[in-house]
This record gives sequence, structure tokens and C-alpha cells, in this order.
Amino acid sequence: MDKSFSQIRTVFLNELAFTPRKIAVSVTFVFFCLLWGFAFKGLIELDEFINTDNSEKSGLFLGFLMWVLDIDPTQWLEFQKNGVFFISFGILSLLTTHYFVIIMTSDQTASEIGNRYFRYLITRCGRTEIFLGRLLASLTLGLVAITLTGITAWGVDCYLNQTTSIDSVLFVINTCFWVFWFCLPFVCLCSMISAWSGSVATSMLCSMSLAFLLPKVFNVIELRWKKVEGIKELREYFPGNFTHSVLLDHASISNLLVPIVYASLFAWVGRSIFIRREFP
Amino acid sequence: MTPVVETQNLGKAFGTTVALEGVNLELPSNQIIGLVGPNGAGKTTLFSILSGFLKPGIGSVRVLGHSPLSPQLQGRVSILPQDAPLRRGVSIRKQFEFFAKLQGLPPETASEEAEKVLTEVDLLEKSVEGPDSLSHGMRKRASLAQSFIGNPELILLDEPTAGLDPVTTQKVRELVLRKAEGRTIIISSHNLAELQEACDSVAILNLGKLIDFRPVSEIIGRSKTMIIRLEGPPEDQLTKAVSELPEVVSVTCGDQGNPRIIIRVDGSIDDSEVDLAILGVFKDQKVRYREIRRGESLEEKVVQITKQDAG
Repeated sequence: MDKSFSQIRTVFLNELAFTPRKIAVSVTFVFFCLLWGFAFKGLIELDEFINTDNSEKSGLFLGFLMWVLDIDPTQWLEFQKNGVFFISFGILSLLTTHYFVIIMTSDQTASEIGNRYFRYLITRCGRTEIFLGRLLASLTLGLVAITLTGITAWGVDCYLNQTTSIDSVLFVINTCFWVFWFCLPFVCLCSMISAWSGSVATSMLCSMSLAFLLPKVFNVIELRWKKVEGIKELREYFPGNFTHSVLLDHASISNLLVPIVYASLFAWVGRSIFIRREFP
Repeated sequence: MTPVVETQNLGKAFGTTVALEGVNLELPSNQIIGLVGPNGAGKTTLFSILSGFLKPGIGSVRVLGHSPLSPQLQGRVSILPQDAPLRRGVSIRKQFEFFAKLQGLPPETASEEAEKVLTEVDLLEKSVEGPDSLSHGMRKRASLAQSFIGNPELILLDEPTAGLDPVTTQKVRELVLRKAEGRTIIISSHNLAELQEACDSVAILNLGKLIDFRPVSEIIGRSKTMIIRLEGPPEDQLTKAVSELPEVVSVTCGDQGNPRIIIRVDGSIDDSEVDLAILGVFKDQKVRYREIRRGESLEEKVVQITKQDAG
């Protein structure tokens, strides 16, 4: 067991040092930073606009936010205590971050199955250890990207308000946690597809498609059986469907459990594929 | 003593292509063993099964008494894989330290081990560079060096000298001979002259089947054959005189482009007596020769055996 942990740690540390040097990862990270750069610039302007303008335009924007979040004006009053900047940051991060994380983590094992690099590792180390070490490194990488975004968001809020409060710090921590939790099953899904496909392109394409389609599956189900009582309550049992509850501060225990169940399932299937597959 | 590698009725197919079929092998320990055969004979597939990269289709395999995927084999078996690149953009020293740590060596020992194997292949000066800035020969030597990390009991070398210049080939052969002490090395190569010099035994594969596995000296008939390369085609008088010697069993002449005579002798008689008797005939006949060799070349024998098998 000690040897196993030691090998997982060795693979994990090695991957953590190497993964940011991968072109796909570094390019995606640059785009991720650019997106957030533009987003923060836009959010600063939006915040100033909402705070200084009481015209129809700002009313329209607030109406748009309420429509996106599916809330009524009374809920909005409760909701807006976090400020428009933070609300918009929360929506944007929960809706987009997982796509970037998927691109960054979609090649956990695929390219090195394809180019046969694993032939140097397999006679030295257990396959489970290689798989888990790389999965943990990918999760850490995702967490680092999310944390950096959160820290920047907090910094921008300090700049806007010229002050900070414990509430804003807690809001950022809460948002980052849920964004990470939201990404968790998708990173494990990437590890599963990567182990199965052995091709970076296939792995990235399948992971992105599934990440986009899986949350939509429930929309179809809900539309098809909309008259069935309690159908809406099933939404949170589909991966990637708890954005709404989190934004409205209605997160439940199932929002915590469902992603971890899916993540464990995908990781377990991925590990099973990886230890059984051939390396031709 | 437990054989290092034991296969029983081993078979592997890729779709409709049969890569290995009914291979029964028992490879002894502490030897250098050659694995030869034409392209597509199944050499790399056999290596891949022994290393756990591929699963056997049928039959069984035991490596050092374990299944190839057993955790018991981690670090005890190593391979120089054919056409597998090291990581680009990472110094080979760092990669070797990582391999050593995976094998359970503590960080400081891993660093020493990396330095040691890189010194053995004359790459210590290049150790801070990534494989992408090394020449083909250097990359090959680096790949070879990684197979010596730790203290593996079984080393599989797939084409260790392919694409190397003669000087480097010579160095690699010397290194392999040094490393062979107390362990088994299996070498797959098309360079049969090199195998003839380095190996104790040779296994010959053809079309996925094992067609021969014997000591090199036995395959090439070192004590039973003498080959004399001449300056021109042999005269009938010479062949007649040689064949009349009591020690000689048969005499075969080479063709116009390859002037030589192949003399098969009675293996029970002392080598030096036979040599002197044959050279005496050459002296009497005033025939000049270019080269005398004991035994046929492994290359000739492998071609011969492979053709017989195909026929």
C-alpha cells in the first residue's frame, strides 16, 4: 500500500510539473485568462452602469438576469445583496468554466497511449497508480485555474467598492467551490474517455460533446414528460444541472452528493478501462 | 531453476493477422538471448506480451514466475521499446529520476542512478537537454540507458542498435555484455553479426511461430563447420583433396560471386588438428585464401532455417 501511495504521489507531482507545458493546456489557459480579462472589464462597466443609470436599459438588464435565473422580483431583492458584479461572475463562471477545464484536462492519458510513452512506465508502476496520479493532477490544475479566477474576482470587487467584506470573500469561496464541484464529474469523464480512446482529438471532442449534451438530456426528459408530477425535482440528479440552485443559494445535500457519485463512477470506469486496455 | 520466461502455446492475433501462434519457450536465466526473424515474425509482439503491453490471445506466459501484469514484476523487468519517444521538452535526467522514483528509489538515490546510467551511455553532458534536441543515436542511447535503471533481472532490448553508427554499435554491444552479469537480456535485432558475438542462445521466429531455440554455437555449428573465403573460384583439385581428408565429412563450394568452400568436419576431432590438416592441403596446392572462419554465420543459418520452414 505504501508503494502504491508513493507511486501515485510521484506520478501526481510529475504530471503537475509537466501538464502546464502541454501546448493544448497552455493555449487554453491563455484563452481562459483572456476571456476572464474581457469579462471582468465588461462586468466593471456593467456594475458602474447599473449603479449610475436608472433608465430603461438597466431595468431591461435586470429583467434579463431574472429571466436567466428564473426568479421573480421579490427573490431578486434577496439575491442582489451580493451585487451585480458578483452575481454576473457567478453565472459566467458556472456556465463556462467547465468547458475550459475539460479542454485542459481532456488529455490525461490519450496522447501518451497514442505515442507509446506509457511503455516506459508500465513495467515500473501500477496502471491504477498512473491513472489516479494523472487524474488528481488534472483536478488540481482545474482547481488552480478556478482559484485564480476567484482571487481576481475578489480583487476586482475590492477595486469597485474600494473596500471588502467577509461576505464578499465568502461569496467568492462559495462560488469557486461550486464551480470546482460542478467540474469534478467532467474531469473524471475526461479521464474515462481519454483512457478509452487513446487519441487526444477523440478524447477532447467526446468530452466536450458529452459535457454539453449531458445537462441537456434532462431538458428533453422534462419536455417529454412535463405533466408528470415531481419531474422537476429529478433535474439535480443529472450532472451539470445544479447551477440554478447554487446561484439562488438553494444548494442542497444532493447537490454535493450527485457530482461526487458521477465523478466516482466515471473514475472507476476509466480506471477499469485503463488497467484492462492494451498498449499496442 | 525457474525459467525467466515461460510460454505455453502462446498465440496472439490482430484481427485476421496472426502475430504469434503456438509459441512454447523456456528461456534460461543469466544469459544473453537473441530473438531473430524476418519483419513481421512476431518479435515485437512477443516483447509486448512479456512486458504486459499486450495480453496473450491464447496460451499462457510467465515472466520470472509471474503473470506479466503482476505488481511483483514492477522494476524487475525493463524494456527498450521500439519507436517509443521519451517526453519532449523535459530533460532526460529529470525523466530518468522520475523512472527511478517510480521503481521505488528515494529521491537522492534516484538522482545518482540517473547520473550513473547516463554516464554509461556517454550522455551525462547532454542530460539537461530534452530528447528533442538530441540526435537519433543519442535518443537511442538514452532509451537504452533507461532500461538499466534500478536493478532489473530481465531486460528486453528491441532493436538496440538500429540506426546507430558502427562505433556506437560497438559501444552498445560492450555495454550490453557488461550489463549481462547476473541477469538475463533478450535482444531482438536484425543485426545478426552483432547477436552472434553477444548472445549465448538464439530463438528464431518466423510468421509468428518459434522455429528454433538453441545455443548460438550449436546453430552455427562452430565446431563442425569451417568456411574459407578464397580469392577466386575453388579448383576441383582443391575440393577433391580436402574432401579426401579423414576429418572432413563434406565439402560445398560457393558460387561465382562468393568464392569460398564450406567444409563440414567431424565434430569429435580436436579443432586445431582439423585446421592444420586443411591448411596443409592449401599449402600443398599453393592456394591463397582471404579469410578462415569457424562455423557458419548466424545470418546464413537464420536465412537457411527460415527458408526451410517456409518451404
